[in-house]
Amino acid sequence: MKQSNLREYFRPKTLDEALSILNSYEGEIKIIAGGTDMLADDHKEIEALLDIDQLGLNYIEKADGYIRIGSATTYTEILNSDEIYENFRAIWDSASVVADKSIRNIATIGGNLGSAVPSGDAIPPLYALDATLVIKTTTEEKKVKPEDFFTGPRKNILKKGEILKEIQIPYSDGAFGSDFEKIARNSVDLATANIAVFVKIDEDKKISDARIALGAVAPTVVRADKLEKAVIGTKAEEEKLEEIVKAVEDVISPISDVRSSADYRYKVSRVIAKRAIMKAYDRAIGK
Amino acid sequence: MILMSQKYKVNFTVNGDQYERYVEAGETLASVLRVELGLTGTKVGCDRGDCGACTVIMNGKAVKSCIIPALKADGAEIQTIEGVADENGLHPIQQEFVELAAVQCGYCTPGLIMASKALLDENKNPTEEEVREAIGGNICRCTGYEKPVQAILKAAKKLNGECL
Amino acid sequence: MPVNKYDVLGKRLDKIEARQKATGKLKFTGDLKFPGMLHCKILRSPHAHAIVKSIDTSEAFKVDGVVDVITYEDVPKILSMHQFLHVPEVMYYDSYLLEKHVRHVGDRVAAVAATTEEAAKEALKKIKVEYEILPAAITAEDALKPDAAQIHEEAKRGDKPVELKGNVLDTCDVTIGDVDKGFADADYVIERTYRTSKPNNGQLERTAVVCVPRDDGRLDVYATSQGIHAMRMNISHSLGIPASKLNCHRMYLGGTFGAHIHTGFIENICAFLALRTGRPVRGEKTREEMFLSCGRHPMIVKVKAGFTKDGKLLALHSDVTDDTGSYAFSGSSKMALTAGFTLSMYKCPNLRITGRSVYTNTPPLTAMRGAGNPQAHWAVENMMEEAAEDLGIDPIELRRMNLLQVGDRFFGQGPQVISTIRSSGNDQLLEKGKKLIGWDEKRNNHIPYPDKPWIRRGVGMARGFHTSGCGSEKPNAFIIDHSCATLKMNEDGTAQLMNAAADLGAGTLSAHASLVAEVIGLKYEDVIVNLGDSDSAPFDGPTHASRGLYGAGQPVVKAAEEVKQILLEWAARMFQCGPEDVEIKESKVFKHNEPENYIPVADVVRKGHFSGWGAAASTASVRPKACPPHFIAIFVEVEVNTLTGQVKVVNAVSGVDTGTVVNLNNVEGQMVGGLHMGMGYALIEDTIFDRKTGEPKNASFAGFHILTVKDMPDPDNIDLVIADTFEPTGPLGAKGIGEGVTNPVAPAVANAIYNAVGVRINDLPMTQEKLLAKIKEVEAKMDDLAMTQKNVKETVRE
Repeated sequence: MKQSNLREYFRPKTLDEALSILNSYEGEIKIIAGGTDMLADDHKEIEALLDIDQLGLNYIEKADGYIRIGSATTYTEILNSDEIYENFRAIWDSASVVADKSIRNIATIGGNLGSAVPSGDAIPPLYALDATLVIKTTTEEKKVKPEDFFTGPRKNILKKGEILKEIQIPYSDGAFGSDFEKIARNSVDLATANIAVFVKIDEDKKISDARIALGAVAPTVVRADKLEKAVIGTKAEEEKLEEIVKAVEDVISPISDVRSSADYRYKVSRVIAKRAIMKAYDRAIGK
Repeated sequence: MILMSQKYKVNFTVNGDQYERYVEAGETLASVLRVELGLTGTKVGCDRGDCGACTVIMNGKAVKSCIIPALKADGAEIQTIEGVADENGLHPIQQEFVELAAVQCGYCTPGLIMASKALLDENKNPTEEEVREAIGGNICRCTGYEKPVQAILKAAKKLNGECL
Repeated sequence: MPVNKYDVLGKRLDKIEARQKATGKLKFTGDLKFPGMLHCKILRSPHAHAIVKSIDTSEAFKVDGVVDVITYEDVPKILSMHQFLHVPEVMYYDSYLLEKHVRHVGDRVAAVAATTEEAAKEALKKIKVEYEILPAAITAEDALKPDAAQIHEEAKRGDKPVELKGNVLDTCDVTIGDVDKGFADADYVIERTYRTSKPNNGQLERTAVVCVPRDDGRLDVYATSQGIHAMRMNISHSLGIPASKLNCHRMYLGGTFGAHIHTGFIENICAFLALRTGRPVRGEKTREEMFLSCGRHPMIVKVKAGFTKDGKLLALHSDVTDDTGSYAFSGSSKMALTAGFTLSMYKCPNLRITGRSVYTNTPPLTAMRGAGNPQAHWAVENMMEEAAEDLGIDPIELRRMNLLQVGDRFFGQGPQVISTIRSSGNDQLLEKGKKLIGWDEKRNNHIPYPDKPWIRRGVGMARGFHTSGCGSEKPNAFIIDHSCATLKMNEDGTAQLMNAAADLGAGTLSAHASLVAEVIGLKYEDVIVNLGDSDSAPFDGPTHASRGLYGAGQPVVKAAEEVKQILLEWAARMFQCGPEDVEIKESKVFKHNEPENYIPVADVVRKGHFSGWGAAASTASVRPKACPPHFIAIFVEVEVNTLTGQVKVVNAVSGVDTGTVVNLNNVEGQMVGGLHMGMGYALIEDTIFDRKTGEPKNASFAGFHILTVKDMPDPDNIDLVIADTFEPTGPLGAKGIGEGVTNPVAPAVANAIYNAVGVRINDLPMTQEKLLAKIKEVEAKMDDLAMTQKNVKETVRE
């Protein structure tokens, strides 16, 4: 949709140039990568756009002990990465159900973080996989955890003069598995509820570590810490989980909206928690 | 990009032809195609990226042109529905859409054809699942999608030289 | 499939405009551009119910590019109607082009014409309006409360003022037979209340119009309209100008599904602005505005039915509360239709309908595929299933024993439209559908995946009909159903059809071309259909009620027969024989059994035209004398996730009785498309308005979802059944198809869900949320039951 009050459009070639535009521009400026979320409505308050699609921030690279995903990497690029499919399955799964293919061709993972919509499918996997976000300013590179990055619905800590540069996710050793699940009204809808689960197992095939994050059921994505503790030592047995997953209700605080009532979100959060834990576990044991 | 009285210069290739235009910062690619270039085959059904009627191919990928800033298309190679048929006639996808009556009211048709052409351009032998995935963001209110899916699969076979 | 005795009909033919559509060349209304064209934007009320206390447009006029700004003070003081279907005397007139009294969020306060859309939008921001906010009633129940605010002070029916009692626009109470006796004689009586939702037509093409002043002082109107003559009548009335001042052009339509059997105000406003400014004026609604101006009526349908213990229907009473929104676009008529259609579903000697159509402070609702009939089907086909269970009769059998049969009286578009059934494929559809869905094997087999017992499958069915047009044996003073067509031969042997029926995307005009080709003996590609306009095409009613082929096709056949007779006579002169001795096939004329010795049709036309024998042309006019039901049976198999309430339709059979198949491709397209739209109605489609403020909550395709390709069953899992029937009153035996294919889908899905999980949701849509809540309720009851039984056992043991 046309942006009726937009006066300027910047599309720099380097990160430094981008940061200097951000610092010097005096009006309301917004960073876009794919722009798909931004252009879905007319943002009358925005006077300038800074398009970061030419900064070379679309990459998926192995580093020492972790993977680096550039913030302007599209979902299609993520889906084309074997590295992500093999090691960070929850991210791959979430990318495969974001909107539809023609959106995924241009929408980016960083964009989803920037928009900070509580239902953003790319977000829970970053919590579950212990990601670190790298923020660039003219003077420094800051590292923050997702837990500290998001501050509310459509809100994050990014200040003017800061660009989300990349996402770093540590590789796991041993046997591990992850999964992403989503409930929506149809195939292209935003999530009514979503969840990402990461588990590691020990030699006895018991869960030794777990990270679980739920989306669309609180002002930001939330970690289900009690549930994480409760699954440790189990083999994700269905009957046990049935009881254990009730713990998600302690951390979520869903609202009622046009997609769903709070009550429904409570009910299905448990269901997808169980489903995702079992799937992640099955992947960990190589099933 | 040069700023000229609130307008920016944008260069792109559309259906093989090079264009240079001056557009406002907030303009969408769909609007430039339709209004500036007169290529009204690209339809705008919702103007917010929900329906897919405006799908075009940009740098080899299907995108929804109503949520692409026109200036993001600077330097891009774009293909619209007007550029799909060539001097030899209809593209096999178009041919099959016509023959199988995958075209009903026709308003979503250009978007469906562009989304599926992007698929067949990169994947000559798609599964039915891949076809569904490729047009998953294209709303059609008339056909129930059965004939479009069949038309795309049949076109793929034709492109592969399979006798039908 | 019918045995095909035709040369052209029944085949798979390309639609005449399909290539243009597939190459992006076809111009839809919104694609048109004229020199000096202005853009119209409408200032819409932010309040659901208010009076404009003051309005100041002076600043808006100062915006660069603004040419005209109008408010309620500037528009004609003529109460106007919106829809095109009924005779003017029974239509409701209750609006002006712009209002002082605004009645829904999005109602029209002012309009701007400017050289660019941006300037028009900018000007809207500069209009200062002071509103006096009134209490609003957002639902029919609220609007019927004694203390509800009065939404309309004045309305007319024809030219007679209507005495508005509260917010009730109209009521009905019709009895046929002796209903009290019927219920008294019944062994079993069922009474249920069903509610339906408010889906949006959701056609991809938004309402658009361009009005272009002509040098002769008249106005060309290009618009997304389902009827050019009806629109002409409507605009001329609301502007107070003669109809002949307007020339309305026929355009191909990008969907519509009933949204454009009414004007949506913007057409009339642009026409008015074009006359004021003397410049072309274009208007196109945004998608959000589409959600503020059309949709299917939500209804509360109470059904009471009495049966004998053997399942014979003895009495039926249906009571309908219809929410028409803030204007009577199709209020009253939809109430009468829904109520009337409930009477047409089955044979029953004692019938009664009661109803009321109610104004609310929500956007005006329109027709949407089925015109009140999806609501009727929802009620009756859910009820039949419950009755079958209570009576211990197989649900298909219960339906079969109560079917209307050939020779039975049939109430078409309401009880005033009476005709006799002359063709029925019901038995074929039920038998084949039952077999194809695997009814007997699947009815009691609910666990497809033993390792996932929470996923349950079920099969269900529903049947029904829609009318083909609105014709009745005797002329009725209720609904317009009359068609006309002009056909002429060209000297190159092509035939050219000029008529006015709209093609909504279903292939209506191609079907007309097929009829011409079949009747005369021409090649299909030798028939041209003019898009034309109201200047050149003879009168026709709008395309609605699935009448595009059945109704508008009848004069096409008649005109083609007359032109054929002329060609035969001319050819006979050339062959020096009698007209009965020659025939035409594939655009060639020859004596019987001598096809090799032919004359091209072109030569015959040339000879006739150039020798002064006359002109090979005819204008035919027909009033259809029936509105035969095209019967439908839908069978579906669903998978229900009992943990989340999610439903997947995994298999479906759509069966139609459409008479002669004109173009097989297009019939199949309607069947699957109808299934898709019906599934959306069943499962997710509803527009939601805040109960207090009337604000729309999901006025976009991101909030209001239409099922995508990924939500549909695999194409291989959809079976299509076409009954072998011939409709004696139809054009070459054809009936309608467009609406029937949607009507029974929602109850079929409901009945399958019930079969799967034993849960019934009486109010549409059957969202995953509603289903899960109901499933949990039933599970809790089962648990209680199990607990009680356990306690009983333990007590006994003790």
